[in-house]
Amino acid sequence: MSDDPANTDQASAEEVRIDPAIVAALYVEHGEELRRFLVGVLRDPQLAADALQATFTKAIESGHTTREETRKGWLFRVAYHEAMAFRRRQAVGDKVVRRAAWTRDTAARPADEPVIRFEAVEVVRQAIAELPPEQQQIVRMRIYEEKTFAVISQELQIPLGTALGRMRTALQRLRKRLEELES
Amino acid sequence: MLTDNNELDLLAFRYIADELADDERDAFEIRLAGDQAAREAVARAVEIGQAAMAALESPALVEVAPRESSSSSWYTRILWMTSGAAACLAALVGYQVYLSQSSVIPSAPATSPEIARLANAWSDAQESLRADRDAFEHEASEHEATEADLTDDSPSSVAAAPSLSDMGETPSWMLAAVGVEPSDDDAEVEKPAVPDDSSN
Repeated sequence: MSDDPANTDQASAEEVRIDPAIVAALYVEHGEELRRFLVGVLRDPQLAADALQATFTKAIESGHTTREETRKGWLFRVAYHEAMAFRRRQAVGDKVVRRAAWTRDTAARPADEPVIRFEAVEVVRQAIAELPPEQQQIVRMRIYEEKTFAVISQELQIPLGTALGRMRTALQRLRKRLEELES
Repeated sequence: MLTDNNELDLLAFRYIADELADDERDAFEIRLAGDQAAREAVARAVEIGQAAMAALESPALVEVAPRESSSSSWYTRILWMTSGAAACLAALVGYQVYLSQSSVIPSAPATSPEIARLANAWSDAQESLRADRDAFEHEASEHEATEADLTDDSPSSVAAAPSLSDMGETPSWMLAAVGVEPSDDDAEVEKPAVPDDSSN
């Protein structure tokens, strides 16, 4: 064994580093949800992929300091700070953030990234089909036609609050169906 | 509580839709720093938005949904196993590069135990892929005609099954990490990005 203090520090760092199998399991369990969260904050799939990689680098580096029951929250917190750091460093600012997270540009993903689950698309498709017509209309106009709620309310001649309320109810139903898929 | 969740979902949706005023957006991003429920609501809103966009873009996919679900579930599991091992190895290699460039901590050996274990995990995942590839392709070939329809109508955000041959090849950055020279056919070594900022 070397007496070099630097080598000793290195050995100690490796001894306390989190088990790679745990990090891999964390990635499998939370990686996709983290990626979606990062896309929501950054609106750019490539930046989100980079931030996700930086997050798991931090997990390898510092994950041993966390408790198992708090690791998901810790990962999300790290991901949030990485996303904010990416925005500052890359000076992406409004030009990236000022767009929806589901637009065709942001839906295009790096080649090595997992894709939207086919099952999720099918579940959402069926859930949309089962929505009342007035909610279907709001979902289509806001997501597919990318009209703002203000424009939608004008075109449909309904109060803005009504448009938002219909969207809230639609989101509730879509979320419920996705949760059923997860379970 | 349910109402609170619904309001949070709508708020998160308006956030990712860029429908919040500047002060509302700033306030929500401050909230994201410490509110796990808000972070999960953002992730959920993105999933709903992307899935809904894909669904609304490609109504023809409904006809082949029941057939696709079982193989898709199987393939998703394999894909996630492989992706997880690869991503963690990429992060670990990035960390090793970071260590090697540090003036405080000397560089680690190229084949540390963590790299070896993750390389083994990658190898295991590859073997799983190879073992199941024939079954997957056989199942896919049974529905070849319908597959063609699916491919024609698929939106850009819903990928067809990625190339298994691509998945099966060991990435060049992994060969570099374990000290094996890539062949001439391998792509250029890809170095994972490691942030300078250590704050979290």
